[in-house]
Amino acid sequence: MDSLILALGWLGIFSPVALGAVGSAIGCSVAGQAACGAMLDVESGYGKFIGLSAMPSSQVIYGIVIMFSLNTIGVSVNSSPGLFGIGLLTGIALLYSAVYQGQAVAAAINASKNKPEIFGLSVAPAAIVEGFAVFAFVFALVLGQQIVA
Amino acid sequence: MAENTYYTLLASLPHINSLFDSKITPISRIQLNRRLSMLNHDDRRMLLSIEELMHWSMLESTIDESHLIQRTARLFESLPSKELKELITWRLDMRTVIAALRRKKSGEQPPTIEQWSFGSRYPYIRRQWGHSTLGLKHSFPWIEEAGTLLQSNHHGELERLSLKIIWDYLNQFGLRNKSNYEAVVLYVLRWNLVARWTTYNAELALEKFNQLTANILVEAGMDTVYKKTSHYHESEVQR
Repeated sequence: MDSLILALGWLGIFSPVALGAVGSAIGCSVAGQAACGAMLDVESGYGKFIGLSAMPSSQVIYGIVIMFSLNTIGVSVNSSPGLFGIGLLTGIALLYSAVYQGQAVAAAINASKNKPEIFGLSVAPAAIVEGFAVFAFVFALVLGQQIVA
Repeated sequence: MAENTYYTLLASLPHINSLFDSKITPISRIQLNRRLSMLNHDDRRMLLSIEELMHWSMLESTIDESHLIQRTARLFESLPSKELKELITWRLDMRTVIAALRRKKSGEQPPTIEQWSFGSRYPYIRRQWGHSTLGLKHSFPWIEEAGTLLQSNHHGELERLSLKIIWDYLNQFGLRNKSNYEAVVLYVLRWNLVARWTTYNAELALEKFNQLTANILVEAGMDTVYKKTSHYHESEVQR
C-alpha cells in the first residue's frame, strides 16, 4: 500500500511537466500551423506570426518550476497525497490552457492577417487564457508550501 | 487529415468580405486549387462532389434529371458529417422550392412521379402544390417574395435574392464551424458564390446575346433581319 502511495506522490510531482508539455505541444502545433498558413497569404510580418505561435510554450515552463518546487518537499507517505492532488490538477489545468491558448492564437493570427491593425487586440483572448494558467501555477506553488514532508 | 491540420489551410485562405460588394474573387481558382491540395485525397474528392452538387455549372451538360437525383442521393449518403448533410439538405430544399415555384408559374400540375426532386421536402411540396407558398412560409420566410418576383418576371432580382439567402445561411453555418473540414467546404462554397456574382455583367451578357442571335439568323439565311437587329441592339447599347 505504501508503494502505491509513494507512486502517486511521484506521479503528482511529474504531472505538471508531462501534462504541460503535452498541452504546449498541441497548442504550439495548432498556432504554428495557422502561422504557416498565414505566411502563404501575406507578403510581410511573418515574424510576429511565428513569435505569437510560441505563446502556448509557457505552460510547460510553469510545469517545470512546479515540479522543482514540489520535489524539494520530498516524496513520503505523508506528503504523497498532497503532491498527487496539487500536481495532477495543476498539470490538467496547464494542459487544457495550452490547448485552448493555441486555438485562441490561431484565431488571432487568422484575424490579424486580414486586418493587421487589430493585431494587439486579437492577442487579448490568448493573454486571458495565459492568465488562468498563471493562477494555477501561482496557487500550486503557494499550496505546495503547506505540504508536510 | 487530422482536424488540427485544417488550421494551415484555413489560415492560408484570404478572407471573403462580402458578396455583393466584391468586384473580383479574393483568390484565383488556380491559387485556391493549389491551397486545397493540402487536403488529402478523400477530402478533395468529397469537396469536388459537394461542389458539383451545389453548383450545377460544374456538372456535364448532358446529365438528365433522374440521373442527377440518383447521383445526389448517392453522394448524400457518403457525406462524412451531420453538419454537411444539414447544409446540403437545406440547399437542395431551396432548389426544390424554386423549381416548384417555376413549374407552378408555367402552369404545370403537381409532379406525378414520387421522386421528382431531392432534399427533404419534395413529398410535402407535392402535396401542398395548390398553396401559393407551398405551405413553407415559416420554414422559408423568403418564399413569398421569391414567388412575387417570379410572377413579375424579375429574374435578376430573384437571382439576387437567392444569392443573398444562400450567403446569409452560409455565414450562419460558418459561426458553428471555424477550423474543421466543414469550414473548408464552407469557404469554397462562399468562394463559388462570389465567383458567380462577379462574373455577372449586363453589358457582356447583352453582347453575348446579340452574338448568339446574329449567329442563328445568319445560319438561317436571314441576313437582312440580322442587320436590322444588330442596328437595333447597337442603338440599345448606346442608350
